[in-house]
Amino acid sequence: MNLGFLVDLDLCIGCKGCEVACKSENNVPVNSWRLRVKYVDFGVFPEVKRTFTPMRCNQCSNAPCERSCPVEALHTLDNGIVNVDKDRCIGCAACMMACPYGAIYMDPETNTADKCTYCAHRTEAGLEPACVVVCPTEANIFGDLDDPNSKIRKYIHSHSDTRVRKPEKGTKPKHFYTGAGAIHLEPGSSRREEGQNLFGNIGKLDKIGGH
Amino acid sequence: MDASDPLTMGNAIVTLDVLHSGVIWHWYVTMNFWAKSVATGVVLLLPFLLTKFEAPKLRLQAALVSVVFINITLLFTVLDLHQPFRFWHIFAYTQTRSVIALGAWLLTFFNFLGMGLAAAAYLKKDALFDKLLPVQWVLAFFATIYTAGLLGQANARELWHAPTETAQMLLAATLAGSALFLIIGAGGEQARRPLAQVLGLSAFVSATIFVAELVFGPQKSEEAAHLVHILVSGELSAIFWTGLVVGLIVPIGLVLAGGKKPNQALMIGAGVAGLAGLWLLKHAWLIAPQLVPLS
Repeated sequence: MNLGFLVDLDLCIGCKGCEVACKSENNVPVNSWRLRVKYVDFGVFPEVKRTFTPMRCNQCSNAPCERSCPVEALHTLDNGIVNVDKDRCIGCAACMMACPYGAIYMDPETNTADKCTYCAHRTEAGLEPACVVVCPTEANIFGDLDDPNSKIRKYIHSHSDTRVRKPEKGTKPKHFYTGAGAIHLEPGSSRREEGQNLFGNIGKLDKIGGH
Repeated sequence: MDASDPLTMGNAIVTLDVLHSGVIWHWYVTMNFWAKSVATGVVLLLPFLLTKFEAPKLRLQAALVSVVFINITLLFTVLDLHQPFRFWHIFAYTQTRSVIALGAWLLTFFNFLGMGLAAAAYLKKDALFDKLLPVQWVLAFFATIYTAGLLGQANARELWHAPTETAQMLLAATLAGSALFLIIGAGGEQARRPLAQVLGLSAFVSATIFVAELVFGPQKSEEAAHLVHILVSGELSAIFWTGLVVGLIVPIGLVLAGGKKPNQALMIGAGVAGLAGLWLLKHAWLIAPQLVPLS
C-alpha cells in the first residue's frame, strides 16, 4: 500500500472545513497547523480572481525530514505515511529546516515536531482522513497509489494537468494537485504584504515551542 | 485569465494564510558554528606551530582552548533543542543518515580526546600528546566540515547549499584558530607573524569567495537569488556587510599594517575583529533562508 493525496483545485471552494476538521481531529494547538488553505488574489480590478490552495505534508517517498532527523522520530510506515514519534523527538528542528514545503511545525505544548500524518490513526482503522470526510465538494481525494482501481489513481491518469509542489527538490511527493497554476504552488509567484491579510496584520509568530 | 499565466502573476498577493513560523534556528546555532570554528581551528593549526616553534605552554594552551570552545558548542547545541533533556536520544537512537547524529558522535569523540590531550599537556607527557594529536587533527577536520553536510541536508534552504560551503567552513576554522592564538599570544613573539599570515590569508580567500559568489556569481534558482538579495542588499545586509568588513577586511588591513614584525596589540585587534566579524557572518548566513516562506 502506498497512500497518497490529490486535491482538485477546480472543486475547492476555500471553505476551510478541512482545516477545522484537521484541527479538531488531531487536537492541533492554537497558532499551529497541519493543514491550511492559502488564499491568493490576482488580476487587476475588475478582472480579479481568488485562488484557494489546501496545503499539508506531502508524505514524500524521498523525505528530507526523515533523512535529517537524528533520532528516527520521523519514520515511514508500511503504508507510505511519514509518521512522527513525539516521544522520540528531541526538538532539534532539523526536519523543519529540511522540509521544502514548510509542512512541519514545533508543537508549542509538547515542544516536539509535528505534521500531517494523513490521520494515520484513522487510516489504520480503515477510515478516511478527517479532511476528506468533511470536504463538501469532494475536492480531497485520498487512496492507494499502488491500486490501479483506486479513485486517486484513476484521477491522476485522467487529468493530464496533475502536478506536485517543487518537483525540482527531488523529494518525490505523494500529494498531487489538479487545476493548479504557479500561483497555487510556487511561493515566489505571489507576494506577501504585512497588514494586507484579510483577518489581521500579524506577519510572523513571535514564539514557537520552548524558546 | 488563469493562475498559471505569467502576466497575471505580478499582481498576485497572498490575502489569507497562516503566520510565518519565523526564525527557528537562531543565535544559539550561530554560537554553535562560531565556537566550533575556534575549537577545531586551533587543533588544525597546532601541528604547524609545533613543528616550527618550541613554546613550552603551546600544547596546554591549544588543548584548553579547544576543550572550552567545543563545550561551548555542545552547550548551545543542547540549549537549542526544544527538548534538551532528551539529547541522549541522539546516542541511543542514532539515525546514521542524519548528519546531525554523525556530528554529535564526532564532536563527542573530539571533546573526550581533547580532554585527554589537555591532561597529557598538563602532566607534561609531550610524547603521548604528540601521538594523539594526529587522531585529533583528523577529528577536527571532519568536525569542521560536517556542518556543511548538515546545512546541505536542509533541503528547503537554498542558500546553505552553496558549493563553496565546505571551503568556507575550513576557512572559518583557520581564521578563528589563528585569531584566538594571536589573542592569547600562543607560541610567543616568533609565532606572531606566521599566525597573522594564516589569519590574513584565510580572511582574504573567504572574502573573495563571498564576493565572487554572492555579488558577481549567478544564482541557480529564483529562491537562491532572493536569499542573496536579502543578504547583500536587503534585510540582513547591515549584519552581513559589517561581518565581512570587520571579520575579513579589517584583519587583512591590520595584518598588512603589521608588516614583517607585527606588534602584539595590533594582532590582538586583528584577532578580536576576525572573531567578532565571523560571528556576524555566520549569523546572517544562518538567518537569511529562514526569513522566506516556503509555501
